[in-house]
Amino acid sequence: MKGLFLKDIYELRKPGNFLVILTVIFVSIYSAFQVDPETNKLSDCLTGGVMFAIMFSFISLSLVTSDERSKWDKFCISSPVSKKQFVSEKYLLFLFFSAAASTIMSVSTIVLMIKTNDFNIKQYIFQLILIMCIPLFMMSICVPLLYRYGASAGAAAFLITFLLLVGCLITAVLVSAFNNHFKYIENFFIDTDKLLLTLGALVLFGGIYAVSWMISIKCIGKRED
Amino acid sequence: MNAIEIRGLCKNYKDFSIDNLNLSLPSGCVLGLVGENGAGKSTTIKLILKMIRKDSGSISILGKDSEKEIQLVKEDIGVVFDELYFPADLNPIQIGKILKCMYKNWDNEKYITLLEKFSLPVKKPVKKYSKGMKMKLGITAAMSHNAKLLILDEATSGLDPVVRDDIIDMLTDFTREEDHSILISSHIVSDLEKLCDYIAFLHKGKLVLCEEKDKLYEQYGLIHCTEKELEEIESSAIIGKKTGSYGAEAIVIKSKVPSGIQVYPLDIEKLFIFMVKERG
Repeated sequence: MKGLFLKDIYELRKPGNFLVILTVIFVSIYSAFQVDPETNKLSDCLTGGVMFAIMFSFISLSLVTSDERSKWDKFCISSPVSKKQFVSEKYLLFLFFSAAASTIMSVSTIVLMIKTNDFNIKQYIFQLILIMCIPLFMMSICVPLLYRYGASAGAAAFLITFLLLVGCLITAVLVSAFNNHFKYIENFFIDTDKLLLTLGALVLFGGIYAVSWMISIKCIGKRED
Repeated sequence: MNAIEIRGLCKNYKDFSIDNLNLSLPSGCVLGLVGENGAGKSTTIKLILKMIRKDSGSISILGKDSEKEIQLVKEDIGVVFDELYFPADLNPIQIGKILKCMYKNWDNEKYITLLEKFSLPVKKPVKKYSKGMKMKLGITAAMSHNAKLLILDEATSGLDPVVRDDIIDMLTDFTREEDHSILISSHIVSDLEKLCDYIAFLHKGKLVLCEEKDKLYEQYGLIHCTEKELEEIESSAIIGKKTGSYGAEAIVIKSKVPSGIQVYPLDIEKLFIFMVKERG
């Protein structure tokens, strides 16, 4: 698997520049708008964080499509690398990217916490895990489709899940603005124990990710079978 | 020992199938798999490498069951496809570092020596390589992990005669070692004639013929005659024929041809074409 990682590191040199620019933009926007000027407290970081994490996950998805384009996947299957190793490398790489995105968000948040003297760490961890669950879910949907039906299907699935997500967010905002029913959902999140919610989200999305991982191993190479 | 032994191999698709394929490549030999486009050459190679699942049959590679020990066996197989399947932005040095981590027996010294021998620029990304250079790099990589078996799928197609000749030389060098074997598929029969010990013809997923090349030359020959002369020859002696206004041309079994008719040395490409046309 070391060879597979090394190949992806070489391939990441180009999008690596994009990642640096993305990080700089995120940190700048985050630092500028995360602090509420009236209360001098940190506001919720969900939207920006989600976008940042999705962009990071997009990079690992682009590596999967690039493998298909160069037919590296076929070469690997003809080499001593097993299908399981080949697929697992991409899933592990995504976890690495998620960890990197989380670290960048966390460092930015800690700096702002120190600046504002607003140390609501529990709330931040809860938000961070929720944020990371979204790209985790997107990857879980897209990667098996990509291995089973090809790059175009995977890209379409990524776009659809992304649009659905944006659609859900907009709907939630509109519903909450014009209708009190959304308050029930909001209250559910406020009333339920945050630790329980966080653990629940982790188990649910982690489970989906693990199932997706197994499905992808079964799916790779099936197109030609 | 056979480097490859295939018994009763079947693979069915909606519109095509490999039907009860039996094929052996003796260790230390070169087997050329000939067939028209869509004859099943690449499918056979993918089945050997377990890149696709077989429906039935057995494949043994270098004495090991490919079903159970394929990952282990792949350490001893070098594979070259019709294109270079490496990311286009990487250069040969980077590719070497990656492959070193993928193959236990990777010999970097040999890899660098071969790159130099074939004048391949080591720091140039492969996207800037010509098709010939890409194929040479593919073969260099395949030969740098002490493989005992090389499998080449249409590796010489689309290349100019000079590069094809260079590649044939590379492969001939590889076979100098006693236990080194090659399975090469191509529809350029002239390349295979130079290189192979055995020739196998595939047509519509079926093995039409598999024979030692020298025996083919011994058994078969080419005749040029009139249509009337051709009619006088026993039909079982004629493997395939082509008639036209200029006369007739046929591939025949030498021993069955009457003594008065001049038999010319066999042209394997013609044998293949006539056999395929005869079968439709």
